[in-house]
Amino acid sequence: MTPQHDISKQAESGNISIPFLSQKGNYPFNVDIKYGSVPDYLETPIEQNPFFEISTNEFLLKIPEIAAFYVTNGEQIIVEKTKNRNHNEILLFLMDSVFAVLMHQKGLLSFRGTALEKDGKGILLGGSGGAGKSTLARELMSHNNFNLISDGHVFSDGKSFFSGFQMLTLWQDIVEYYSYGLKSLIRPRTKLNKFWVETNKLTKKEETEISAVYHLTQNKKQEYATMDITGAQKLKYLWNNTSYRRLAELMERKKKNFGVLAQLAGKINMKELAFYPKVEKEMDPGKLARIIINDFKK
Amino acid sequence: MTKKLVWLSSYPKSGNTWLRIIISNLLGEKELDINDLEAMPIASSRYVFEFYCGFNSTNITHDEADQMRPVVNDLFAKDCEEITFRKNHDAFQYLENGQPLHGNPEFYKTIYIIRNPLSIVASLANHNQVSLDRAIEQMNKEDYSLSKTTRKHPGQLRQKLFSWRSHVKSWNENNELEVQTIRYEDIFYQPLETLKKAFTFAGLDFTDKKILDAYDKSNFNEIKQKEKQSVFNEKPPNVASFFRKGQPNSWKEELTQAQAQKVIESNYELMENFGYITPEVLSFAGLKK
Repeated sequence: MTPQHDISKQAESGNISIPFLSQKGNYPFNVDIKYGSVPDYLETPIEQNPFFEISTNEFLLKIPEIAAFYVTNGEQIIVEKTKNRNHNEILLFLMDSVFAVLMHQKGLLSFRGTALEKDGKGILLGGSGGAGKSTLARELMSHNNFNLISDGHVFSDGKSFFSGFQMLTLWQDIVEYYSYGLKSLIRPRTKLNKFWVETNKLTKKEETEISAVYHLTQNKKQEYATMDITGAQKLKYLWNNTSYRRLAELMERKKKNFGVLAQLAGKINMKELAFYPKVEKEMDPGKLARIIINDFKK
Repeated sequence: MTKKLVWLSSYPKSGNTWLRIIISNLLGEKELDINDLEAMPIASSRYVFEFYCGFNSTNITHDEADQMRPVVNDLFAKDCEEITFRKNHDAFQYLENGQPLHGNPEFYKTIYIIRNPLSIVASLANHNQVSLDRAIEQMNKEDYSLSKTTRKHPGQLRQKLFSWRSHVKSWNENNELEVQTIRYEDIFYQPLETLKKAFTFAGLDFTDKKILDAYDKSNFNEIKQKEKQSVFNEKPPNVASFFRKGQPNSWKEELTQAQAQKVIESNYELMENFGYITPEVLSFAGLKK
């Protein structure tokens, strides 16, 4: 299989709007996103393979049988979708590595995770996929008056979080755990049990000062544990939470980002939250939420 | 092209992790950390997949991911500058389009670790937290897969194992593949000869002393001690410990005659080919040759 040939040339025209993006048209989202034809290849790629080609200011992503995305200079995204793909499927990929690379091109930071705001203070819930970031966010929003800044990827200049994707992405097990009616949710791909959950607990601020970062991990020991992250470890955790850090490295962003991350690390509190799933698939979001609430009281 | 990628393939609970620990003790310069096994990412690693794809692999289905895995595996193989081992539990298989899941066989070799299926039963039951009978059923299921969930965030890519029998055959009865099969029991009883054969096949040359030192450091008491000090990140959350007994004959204390009989009857030919059928085994199971 040669994936680049699987993208059929079914270009559609027209601007693409991202309904969950809070600050449409404002910095850092002053970007032109539209359907159109993408180039077959980049002239001077730093790295190229059948799935993507990248240089410091260009990114060409080719997802077989779904779409191709072309991102340039942090200003424009062109999407060439494969026939029969719906708009939400495109958004799913757009609001992922495509936007992360866009931010890297702009010289901004992009973190994997969920950012929330309370009393003007912003926190980031980081950790690997499936760690429970969105679940804990849902708990903090439902019972502890936190407001959503962005879910999935969180964008920052190193001082503040920008309001970004304002919906939660949850898998079916969590949707069932919280008894959401499946019909009230948006399912971007019919073949996937991954849902977008709209919420009215949204921050009203365009930018929120960064106060703390929590890194979620699963504890294999039968206990909950917290550990302060200090010193150089902070920088390591922040870099590890960077969205698509390999792509950022290929774009030669690592050195530049480290300077900003080091400054950020000096100003914020960071903590690892390790939880033990009581039964398979279940964590206790209330218990983790209380740890964060206690930090807020200090 | 010199083959730098070496798949360490096995059905689960067949000694794959044990061999990786031995290799880590051979290649590593510092004391072994069981959670840092000399960079041998599993074939189903989402990290490796996304490293080459540049998008979130949980946005695509298991079937869609399978279609892309041959390309990813070829890219990985081409990037190997030195002998690189990768853990693998997938059965060898061709996709509907004829592509082999593991990529072009010209790019890799395979060390296949086989273990007496009678020994796998109790280990698999413990790992999956199921009864022995259920473990035997799983080993006989032709559509058995790991990480096949679609309801929750899937930690790894789906791995189609098929039955134990089909898994062994898939890797050992395909002329397209360059495979060195070693028996778990031979690593246990004849470590030097067995490991040397495997490493020479992979293209690595170690002194006998180095191999035996690494083997000694990898004995089950040592590993279990390390697991007590630092929880092994491949251990399922609800299982007390990943490493169990490791003894080749402990199945005799764990299986009933009927259970042993069922395993043998399902896999007789293969078990005989690999030397697992002995008069003693048949007698235990109440079977005649």
